[in-house]
Amino acid sequence: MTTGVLQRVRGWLPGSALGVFVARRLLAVPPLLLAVSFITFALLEAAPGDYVTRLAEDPHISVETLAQLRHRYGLDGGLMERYGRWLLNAVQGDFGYSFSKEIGVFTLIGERLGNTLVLSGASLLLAWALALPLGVMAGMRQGSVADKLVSFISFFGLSIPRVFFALLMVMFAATTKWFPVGGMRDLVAWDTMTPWQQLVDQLHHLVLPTIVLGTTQTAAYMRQMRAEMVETLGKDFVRTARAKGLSMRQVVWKHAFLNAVNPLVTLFGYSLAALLTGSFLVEIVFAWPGLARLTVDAVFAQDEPVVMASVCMATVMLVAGNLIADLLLGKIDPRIRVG
Amino acid sequence: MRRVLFFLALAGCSSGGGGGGESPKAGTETKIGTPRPGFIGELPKGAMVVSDGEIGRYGGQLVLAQPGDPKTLNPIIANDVATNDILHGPVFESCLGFHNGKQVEKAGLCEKWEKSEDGMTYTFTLREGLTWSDGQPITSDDFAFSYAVTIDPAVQTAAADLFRQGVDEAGKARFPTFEVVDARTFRFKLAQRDVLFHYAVGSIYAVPKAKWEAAYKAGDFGQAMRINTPPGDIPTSGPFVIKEVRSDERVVLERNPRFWKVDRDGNRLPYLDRVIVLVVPDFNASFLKFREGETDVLEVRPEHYDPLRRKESAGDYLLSDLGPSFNTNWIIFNQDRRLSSEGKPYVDPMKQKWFQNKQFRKAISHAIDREGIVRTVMAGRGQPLWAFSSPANKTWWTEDVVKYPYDLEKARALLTEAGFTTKDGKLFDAEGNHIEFSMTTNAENSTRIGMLNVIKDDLAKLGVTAHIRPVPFNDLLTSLRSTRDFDALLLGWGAAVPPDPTQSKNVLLSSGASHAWAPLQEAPATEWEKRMDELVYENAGTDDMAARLKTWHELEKIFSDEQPQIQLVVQNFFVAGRKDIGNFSPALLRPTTHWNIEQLFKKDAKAP
Repeated sequence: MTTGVLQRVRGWLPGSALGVFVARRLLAVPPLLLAVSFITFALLEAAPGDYVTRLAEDPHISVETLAQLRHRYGLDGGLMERYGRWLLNAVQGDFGYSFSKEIGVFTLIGERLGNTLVLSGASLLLAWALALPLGVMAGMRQGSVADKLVSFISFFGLSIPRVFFALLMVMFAATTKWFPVGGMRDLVAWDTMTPWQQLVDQLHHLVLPTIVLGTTQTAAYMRQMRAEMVETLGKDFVRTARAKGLSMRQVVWKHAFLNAVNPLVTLFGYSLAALLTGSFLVEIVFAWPGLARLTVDAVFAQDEPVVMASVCMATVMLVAGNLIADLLLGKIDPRIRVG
Repeated sequence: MRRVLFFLALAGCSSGGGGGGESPKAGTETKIGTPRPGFIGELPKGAMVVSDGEIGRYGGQLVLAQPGDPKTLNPIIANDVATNDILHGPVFESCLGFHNGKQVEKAGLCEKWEKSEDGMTYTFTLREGLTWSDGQPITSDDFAFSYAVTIDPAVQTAAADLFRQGVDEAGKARFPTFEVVDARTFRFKLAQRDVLFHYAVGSIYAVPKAKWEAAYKAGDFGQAMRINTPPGDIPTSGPFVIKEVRSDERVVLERNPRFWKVDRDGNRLPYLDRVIVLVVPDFNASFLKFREGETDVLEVRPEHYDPLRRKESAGDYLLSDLGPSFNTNWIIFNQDRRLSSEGKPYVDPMKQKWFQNKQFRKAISHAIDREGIVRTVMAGRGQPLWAFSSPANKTWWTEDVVKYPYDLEKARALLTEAGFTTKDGKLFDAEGNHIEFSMTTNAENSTRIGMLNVIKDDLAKLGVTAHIRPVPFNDLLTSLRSTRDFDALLLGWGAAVPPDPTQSKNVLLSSGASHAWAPLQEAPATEWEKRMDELVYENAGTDDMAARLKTWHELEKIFSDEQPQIQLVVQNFFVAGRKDIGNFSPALLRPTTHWNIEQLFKKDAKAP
């Protein structure tokens, strides 16, 4: 798919320029990862104790056992020595095993990835499905009641802290009993359900966290869409299009919309990066079994390999999201040249 | 767009793995209902008869909640509460069991064990006809393998510490040797006597050799039986097998069709078809889940006692007060005489003088209003603690210790006697230094912080300035175990199973790592610590209970007189359970609510 995009992009860009652009962006990744991973590692090191420390709460565990465990997990040695060891393995693609679960970190992350993607994907869909039409509508009817309503929703969505909103929703679920209070499915009745009921049950669990997560995103896109629409509708080419007798519908969707949507494509690229980490707080509040709980638990337990792998993964996603955003922009807007 | 959403939802379904909707195959109908899944094959010849409790009914499921995920499905390397509560007992049984209610030993996979005259040889005999849940026989070889794994330093198990018997001439750790006598009999030869050795053997949760030896030889034993191993691939010896593990969501257990216990009417156990363990990290959430009827049992936190009590008459559950728990709370002064790696003393010599002064410690103990702590921090649900063991300990607790009722006059008298003086309401030592120190505990625990608040106010009345120093839990343990950078420290100990004094060796012996006020001493620094060491060894050196009680009571006397570890309070333990659970008999030792899980049943399980 990437090559397809590249070929098409190449159609209206000097091929070498794009290649250089992508290469330059990719070259920036290793130093970035190096810096991010080192800072994370150093912060973990600076935190009191290590993974083995909490075992010492049990008075029966002996000093020898603790020392041997430290050795086994590679927790002995100084910061640079340990970071060097980690880096050497990571460069060879070996990010190690989770201390607590003895499972390869990417297997562990992979298990949770699906759950996180369901939630962040659903909220992204909700946000786009609402933001584009509402933003366009508000932009077309400036000052109308609908426009004011859209503005209100935008301000609400942007200004309410996500955690607070999530807690409100949990309270709402607990009082009305219309929605489950947390989790991803009904874990007690799950096995007695038909696949269809299971799907409905999951969607039911998905509603509230999606609303919380989607609202902030919707607000951001909607505001952006409205502003772009207002600006574009005032442009000369729109007037020309109207003058040559096109219907308002054609003008809006064929001419104005395509021009107005450009900046949102950039936003879309950035939201790719947020797919993995953007839902962290909401996942914790709604007890959603995704990456957030895995990572947060790992941080608290000082399960180093898991923390390191998820931080590296988030970094790569951020870089990839930005790159995709730039490439998409180049494809949609012929005025933009890279290089 | 809808199609994409649908796809995403399905991706979520499959990512959790496992969990089909098909109902398990039913067994034959019996007088007490139909087990689903049914039992397989004949009852083993040597089946164990569980004679206490009611006769139950087959069917139904029990829903529990626990705060953490199991970390592994390997019972030998498991070392945290969340994992042990699932694996040790419900899924794997050991050679010997323990009756958590009566606090006595009971039989397990072994029908008998014998100790030689000199106490150096232990012989265990497995029941006849036992099989793993997959139908393979359980033999002495499985125990030989599991023991070898347990003590292998490369595997790292917590249980290895129970078997370590000093070191040999080369300085290597010494372990008892294992000998297979025949398929059902095995023997341990000890290097030195150990009265609790049979309990150590009881802590081996054996796994089948034929299944896991290859992984062990390849150096991957730690990675055998992980939480993502297909659960059908893990043969078990307990009443249940693992059916599904969904990380951070739930664990499902299903009847082991080849379990080897029967009730006194000859019905094969367990009664329950399934057990669902929900992973609920938040205590408030698990309380809500119990209140809403989603879970069947709950270990009640102090803050949830009142709401549950108020609704009890209207609810379908019973709230039981099990009395004082095993968890003791104490405060210690740092009496560490060693030097840190930089050659500096761990404790300021000025403070060291106070802390090593017995009169000082006794005065502090008298100045602490324990009743006040119970009243304000525990809402009245607890009691003062004077002895090393909690009153929860049926065998070892004793009333006959030195007590320190709240008495400021006595405290002042003791301090004056020891040369301390009071000026302008402030306490000074003989050299004229004001008595001021910090008290450390972990910030996450509001009960402990609450206790320190009371103690701080109490000590202020003596003219002592005490600062509360809350630190993260890991910091606290690091301070305690290695950096030793504290003046006073408040913490608690739990109990092991069985709750025997020898289990506290690491705390009581002056050479112990958890001898918290002055650990890892090469030779006991004081006469009374020397005497305590002797008493610990004497206590562990005989299995004559009268003699053991005598040495233990003497030790408790010295301990309470010297106040190296100022015992504070024990909190009461509460458990709630649905009325429809039969044979429900919660206990203070873990797993508190379901230690007799093979006997639990649902009274409303469907009639045949």
